[in-house]
Amino acid sequence: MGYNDYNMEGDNITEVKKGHNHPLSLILEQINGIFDELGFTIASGPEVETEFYNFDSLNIPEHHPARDMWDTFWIASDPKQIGQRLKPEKLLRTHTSPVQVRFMEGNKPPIKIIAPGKVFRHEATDATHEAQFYQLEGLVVGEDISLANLKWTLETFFEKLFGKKTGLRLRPSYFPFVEPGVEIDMTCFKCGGQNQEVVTVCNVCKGTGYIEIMGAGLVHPKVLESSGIDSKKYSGFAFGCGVDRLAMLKYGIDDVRLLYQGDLRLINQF
Amino acid sequence: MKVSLNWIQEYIDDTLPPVNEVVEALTMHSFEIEGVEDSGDDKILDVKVLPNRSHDCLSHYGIASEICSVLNLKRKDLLSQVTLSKTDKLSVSISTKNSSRAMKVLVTGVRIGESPEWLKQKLNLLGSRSINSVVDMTNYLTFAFGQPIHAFDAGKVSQNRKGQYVFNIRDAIKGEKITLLDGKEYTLDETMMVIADDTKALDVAGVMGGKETGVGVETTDIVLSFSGFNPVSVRKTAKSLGIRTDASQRFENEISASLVERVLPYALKLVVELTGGTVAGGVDVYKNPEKLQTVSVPLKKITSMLNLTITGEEAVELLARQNIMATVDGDKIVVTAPLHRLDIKIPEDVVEEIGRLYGYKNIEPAPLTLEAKVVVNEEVYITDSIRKFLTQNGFNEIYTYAFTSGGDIEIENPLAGDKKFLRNNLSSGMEESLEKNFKYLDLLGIEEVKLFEIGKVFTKKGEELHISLGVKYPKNYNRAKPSSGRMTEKVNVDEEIARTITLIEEHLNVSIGDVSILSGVVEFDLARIKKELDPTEKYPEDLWNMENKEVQYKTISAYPFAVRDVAVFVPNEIEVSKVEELIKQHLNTNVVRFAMFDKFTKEEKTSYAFRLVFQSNEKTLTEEEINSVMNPIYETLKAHEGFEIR
Repeated sequence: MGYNDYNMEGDNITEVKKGHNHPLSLILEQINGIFDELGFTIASGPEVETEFYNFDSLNIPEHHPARDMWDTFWIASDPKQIGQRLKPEKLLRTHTSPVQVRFMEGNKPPIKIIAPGKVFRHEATDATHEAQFYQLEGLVVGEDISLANLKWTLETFFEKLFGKKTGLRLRPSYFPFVEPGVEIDMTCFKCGGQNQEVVTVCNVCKGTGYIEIMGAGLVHPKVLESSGIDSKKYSGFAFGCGVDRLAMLKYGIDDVRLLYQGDLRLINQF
Repeated sequence: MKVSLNWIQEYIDDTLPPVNEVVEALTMHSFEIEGVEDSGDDKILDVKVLPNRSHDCLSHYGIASEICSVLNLKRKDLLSQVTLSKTDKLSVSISTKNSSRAMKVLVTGVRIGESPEWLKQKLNLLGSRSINSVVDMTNYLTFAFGQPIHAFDAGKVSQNRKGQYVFNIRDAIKGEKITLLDGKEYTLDETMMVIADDTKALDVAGVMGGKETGVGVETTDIVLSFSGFNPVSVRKTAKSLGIRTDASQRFENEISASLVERVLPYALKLVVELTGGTVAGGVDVYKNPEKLQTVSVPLKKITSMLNLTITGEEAVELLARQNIMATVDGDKIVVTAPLHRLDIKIPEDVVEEIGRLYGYKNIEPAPLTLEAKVVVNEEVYITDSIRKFLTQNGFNEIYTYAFTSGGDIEIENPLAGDKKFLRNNLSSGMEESLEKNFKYLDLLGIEEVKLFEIGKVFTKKGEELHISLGVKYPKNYNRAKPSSGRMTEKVNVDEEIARTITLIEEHLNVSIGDVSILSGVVEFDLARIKKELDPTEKYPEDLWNMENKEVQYKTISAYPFAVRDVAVFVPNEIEVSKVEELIKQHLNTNVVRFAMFDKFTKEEKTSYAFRLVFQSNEKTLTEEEINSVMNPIYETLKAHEGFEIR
């Protein structure tokens, strides 16, 4: 190849040229399509949330060390209200998990939803961290919902998303709104998890054979109860993962910040 | 938290397997290992202890015990618990609701010196500085067992009329000042807690000791302090003072008061060995001692949550490996966790313990057969329909930041001064993006910039979902050129947007209403578009592009690009592909784009104009490097009969 032909599509074409979807939209559309096919409802909620929905209702009480897991942007209190209200109680949602609670409040089981959306974290940005990004949350509530159902659902999802079968590995983890909580790793779709012995280390999984992809678990009974669902009768699973990270993995994007620059040098590649 | 494998081995009877097996076992059954370092014949593991186990695993013994649980190894017996002889030299009291336990032990006749090598080495492994034998001992025992210990110089503590050293755990007084071991003076308030004598605060409870009562070479009598504090109180205090210590980190995770019993025999033994002092006795004030709790777990719950067939006996065995007592009782198991396991409170907690020890890898995927009513999300329906329509009509989708320098809604804790507000419009970001991308027309091989963004904006009225469209054309841009497709008349950017909006209305069969288009940018609230959706409505068949796009992103070069044109008259019978071939043979990797941009015929000759865009990922290209491609092209073209470079 004498020259980079990736963007050599001529500009002397005479029909109306198609525009380009943002890579996050591309992947979000696929996510919507996959879960719609699996019979999930797509739910949404506000980006400015209350402390209650973002934390308390998800079994993350104030002053609990678990709150350190979510660095939070708080909305400044209305100056008129200062004095009555000592601290801000509105925030930029740190995950789309509040949508779970909002949905459960208004709907009875059986529940099968995904909640994709923008979230915010108060952290310094670099190639792998951004103060705003997209998250995909999933929630299923019914009778006898198990970790095995979670595993099947996610395996099905990843197989469709990445276009090939991937193995999933569950490891113990902790999120206050699930019990048990697990971290989900998928076998590296690039090297197939076979790279440990290979001379060049796989640049996707860094030679571990696995990619850490999301947190999940069985819904904590307190979360069900706080939304008015009988935790003796119903159980459920929930999962949450970063959509930006999925897009970066799938398309080989090396810097998350590129996604928010409004830069066609990125977007027109898609 | 860093732990030494040799140190961990001290608490385990069986020999530990090779480090990679330990790492694998912990990863799959307990905690992620963030790193393994060599240190002589030792290995240092960086264990990411989960928040729900920080109360019992932020210590070498805690990790050793966890390794024993998952690898089914035998723990060494700990030193037997000791009964503390009472002393009348101490007055110990608690007068705050935020402390449950205060145990003080007086050790007299100590000689404070350097720590022995083994102790220095252990602290050194964990990156902790050796100070003196007593301070080192307290740190060592914290890392060993997770119970923070503090040592006071008894001589600096005031005595009451009975000649007793006074230790009272109380709430701090607003404005009370204390200089801590870090040498800094702190002003306290009533939300904080101190250990105090009759006259002054000696220590900020659970956070850091005071400088004045710190142990030094001149100390002859010491008081060892073992406490139980309310985790929320310690956490708030540490946060507001801006201090994070090994002690506060443990206290804020709610350690069990029973850890004191575990560490006490080690402390009493070591303090004598290290200082030659005598344990005079102690006082233990322990309010509402912890009680063992039992949890009943139906076997059906275990099997249904994990979808595994585990018998009651198997479950009991898996729990026993963790020193969690359990018995089978008909169709349930009755579980009693040891005092230090504060995380076993509800049946689901027990299921987790069984599941993770059994191994989540043994869980086979089971299809989700649950059916639920699918409700179409109107917002998704509309935004995705518009998105699809716009990209099909040449608009490119951008995402920009929600944070801006001005707006209606202010962030309490912004990341930077220019990110203090949430955006209240998309137009500003759109204008910037139009400008920015306009500079890349040649690089991108496009003739116009057409963008859209869909996103939330935040106004005094609340959160709104907006869409913005933006169009920018080059000067004297003639949309009637061949590339304009079905448009034949010249239009300006505002007309193009107005036309697009009409097309959206037609396409979606909705009404958008009046919008104001300004200099090629429009923005409106998507709530204007009301689509009457039937409850049984489904998403349009082809709404989402489900094709698995095999795109691999190519890094955007950080270096400038350069543009060169070449135009040549050729005899009419020469095909354009022939001309392209002649040029292509000279292109190298620095040519990122090559395309014809103009063509016209004049009598027997046709002119073809090509544009070449040069850019490197490694450097700014020099004139010579560009010419090294262009000159051979000119030469080749010129050499052809009937060709004429324009």
